[in-house]
Amino acid sequence: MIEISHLYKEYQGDLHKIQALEDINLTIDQGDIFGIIGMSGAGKSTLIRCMNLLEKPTSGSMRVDGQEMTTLTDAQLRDARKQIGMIFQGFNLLMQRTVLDNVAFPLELSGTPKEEIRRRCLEMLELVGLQDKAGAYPSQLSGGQKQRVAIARALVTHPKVLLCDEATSALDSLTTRSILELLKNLNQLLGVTMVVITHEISVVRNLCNKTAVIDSSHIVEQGLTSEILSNPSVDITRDLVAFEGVVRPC
Amino acid sequence: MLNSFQTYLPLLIQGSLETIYMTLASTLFAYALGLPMGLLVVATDANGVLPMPRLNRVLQWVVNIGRSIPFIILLIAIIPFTRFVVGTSIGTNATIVPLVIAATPFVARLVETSISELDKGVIEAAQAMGASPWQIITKVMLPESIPSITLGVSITAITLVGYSAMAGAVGGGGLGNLAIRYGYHRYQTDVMIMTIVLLIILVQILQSAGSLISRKLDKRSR
Repeated sequence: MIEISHLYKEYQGDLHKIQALEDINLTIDQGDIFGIIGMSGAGKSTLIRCMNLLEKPTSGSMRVDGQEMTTLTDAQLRDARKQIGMIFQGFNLLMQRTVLDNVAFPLELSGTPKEEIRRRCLEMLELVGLQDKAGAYPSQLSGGQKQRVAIARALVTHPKVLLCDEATSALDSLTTRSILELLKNLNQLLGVTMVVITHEISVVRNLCNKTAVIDSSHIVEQGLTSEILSNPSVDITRDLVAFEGVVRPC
Repeated sequence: MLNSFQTYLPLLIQGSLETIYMTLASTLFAYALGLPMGLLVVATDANGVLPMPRLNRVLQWVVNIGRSIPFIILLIAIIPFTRFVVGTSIGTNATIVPLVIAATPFVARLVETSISELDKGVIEAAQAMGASPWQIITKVMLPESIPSITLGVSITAITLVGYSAMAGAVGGGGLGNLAIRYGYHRYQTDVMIMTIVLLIILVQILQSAGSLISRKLDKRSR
């Protein structure tokens, strides 16, 4: 579903160039919940933002659903992005719109008929357990409810991929669990491939079937989550695993 | 004072109506021009949704130049243009031309500020959903910043009340005209005080109305 090969991303700093990603090679299969874990500044957010071209890679290939993303025109890129949902740490909801109208937003963009928008949005809100909040405004919701609205908004167009950029980092541990549970269910129900960026090993442990570890701009190990967690091959993974119990006993 | 109040009542009413007319009409026209201009400034910024650095630099220039010229100078300097547009350079209708020209760059700056207060993440989310620059402007930037833009409208209207009073100095009509003709040239302090009181009331009404409407519109404060 997502194939990344020899992907580089560098930023022009004040004095010299900063390498954010170096020679990234990854394959994410259809239906995977693929975790990408690393410390702050390792480059994981840059990597996920390269997947829908919110960041433009400097070189290399990024294929999503067989389509090379880096060479698309603006109009083609907008169409491709409609097949890729995304949720964020800060939810990024439209504060002046109701919950229902937030979920409707991506459908409005592609000119879906009004009755169909309403039907699909209500359906989606039911899936995330917020059917009774359709008329509420985001400011009236808790963090977990906001992220549920964002998930409904990201999936209402039936995208092939859902990108989750630190989606639970702003939530408490109980709410995090319920959101992870929801994502897992939606993955099974809709078959949507998920890419999950996180710095918390418990997130990959509870959610992801496969995991890649990113450290100072490189992928240092990848494979099945169970194998990586039980038998880490690099120091950074061992640190992350050891750290888990210290920070969050669960 | 009560006696003079009765004497000047018709004049005061007429002056107030003229001031209100000038303020509202010029606010309306200033937004018709300044709102699109402000949106264009935001959109064409190097980090905007429709980066056009050269056009952006020109717009920034125009806005800054417009805001640098003192209103009283602008008022006199554009008399030929005013005469061309409305056929005369005196009276309330003639005053609206310089008021609009002075307020448009001011409005553009206010609109730009309102929109740049928005959370960048929301705009990014819209981009990630495949929204076009036009859709981001009309469906995200404008509706999300409506409460702040509404506050800007009352700031603009209040500024224009002050400017319209200045226009009174050159025969523009309104309360400013009264204050200068009677209060200043004829040393009638009572008329001066009455016009000032009326201006204060007008400004208070505009400010309260702006704040109230903005609060009512803002879905974040429920």
